[in-house]
Amino acid sequence: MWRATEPDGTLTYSFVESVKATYPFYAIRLLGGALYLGGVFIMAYNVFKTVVGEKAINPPVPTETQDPIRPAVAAA
Amino acid sequence: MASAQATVAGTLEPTSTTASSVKASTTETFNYKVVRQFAIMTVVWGVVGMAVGVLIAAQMMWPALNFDTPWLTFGRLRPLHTNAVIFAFGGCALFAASYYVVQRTSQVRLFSDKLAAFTFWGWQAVIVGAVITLPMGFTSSKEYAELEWPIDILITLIWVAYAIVFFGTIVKRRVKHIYVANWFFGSYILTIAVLHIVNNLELPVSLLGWKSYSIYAGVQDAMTQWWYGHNAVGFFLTTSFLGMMYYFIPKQAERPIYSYRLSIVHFWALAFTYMWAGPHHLMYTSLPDWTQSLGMVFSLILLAPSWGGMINGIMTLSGAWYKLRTDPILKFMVVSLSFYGMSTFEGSMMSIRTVNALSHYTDWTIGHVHSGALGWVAMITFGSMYYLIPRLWGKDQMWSKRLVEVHFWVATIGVVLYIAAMWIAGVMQG
Repeated sequence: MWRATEPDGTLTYSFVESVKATYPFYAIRLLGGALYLGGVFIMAYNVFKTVVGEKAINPPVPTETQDPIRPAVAAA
Repeated sequence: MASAQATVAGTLEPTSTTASSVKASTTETFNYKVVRQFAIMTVVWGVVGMAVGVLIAAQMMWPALNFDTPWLTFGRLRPLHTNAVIFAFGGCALFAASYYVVQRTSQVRLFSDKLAAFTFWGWQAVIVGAVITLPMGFTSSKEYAELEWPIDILITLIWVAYAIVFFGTIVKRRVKHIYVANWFFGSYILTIAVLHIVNNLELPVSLLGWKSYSIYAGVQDAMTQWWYGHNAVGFFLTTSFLGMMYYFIPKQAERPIYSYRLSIVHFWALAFTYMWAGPHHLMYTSLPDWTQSLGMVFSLILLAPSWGGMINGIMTLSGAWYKLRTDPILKFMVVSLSFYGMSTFEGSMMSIRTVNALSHYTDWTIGHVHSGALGWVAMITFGSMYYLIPRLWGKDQMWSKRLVEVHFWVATIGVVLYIAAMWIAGVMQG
């Protein structure tokens, strides 16, 4: 719409006409965005239920490797 | 099953060869604490950043939703949205993933717990600073670099600490081979440091005020800005998330990478090519024509390494395709790669001058950005976090697999609606 011109060189549409024409697509975009946000809320709930009351762990580093760069630390 | 796991573990983490040969060391543990902190904040900032996005999308329909309050106007909330989803949501996800992957694949604890903690608290301070200053109207007016100079300095300090922790861990690694995901993370850390510092060179008006002016002027300023802007896309939102992809997809699929050689080749091709693509943001401006053409040519070349990465990721599922039927985490990962392939193709096409004459300044650009951001970046993050988070608390599954599946479908339908609407709107406007 922005680039459309009349034979005499004037613009076919004013800018505000293009804004008006975009409204239905803004509505669809809003719906899509709201769905996506809803998905993140589902994730947040799932993460909360996964970790709440669980013990945080810091597992030990394995000491042997097939491809060592230096001698492995001695296992205590 | 056990042997398949051993194969994958052998590919990614050469030290954990077989379960029987692994001896636990009581002297050293992995630092999962900082990974946990960043992983949780990924989810929190994801909710916040995307909620702001939905609010400003609603403002496009109903402008009254700014409630006649300056702090809630579109012009101030839009940079808050972009900063929150890119640097808060995406950034926390990358800190979590890179700190986890570099420890696991190097078989060593992080280089420094104190510096790692500093990057966590410092990064949260930067985000809170953005949440306060952007709605107040403090902005350098550079897209994706809106934050003013005091926050820029804090970001620089955090980033240097991040680099020391990451590369320090690589230096003290026990495994000789540096796994490819670390190359991707390393290039992202290094490049973002250079981009951030060079683009944010600015002179404060006073040492007590927030306002500053860029040291560049005119078209040089524009070129520096889009050299930064496009490489923020290239390195903050692409190579880094490819690092995530190269660790978590083989892990979740329990298959080795399709072609390790291809991963190396497309890494170097991507790193070299992205740097030149910035001028495609400045088509038909006062930027010299030859610079515009150069940017366009490199943007077209960029398609090859981008698709190299996509093919490598998708083909990693060779022999494991049946898992897609039942595993929603793999669905997230494969769909994210599909969107990655689609949006990189779209991006290359949009950089062609004549296409750009139509697409530039229209909503097509917004659609393109969101097919990359929602489709690729956020989806690979969701998949990786669903793998990672239970393991940080000593479990191997999320609380509800069913909810992961629901999330996958809601997100996929949402992103398809979003980008289809913006394509039509953009082409109509252009």
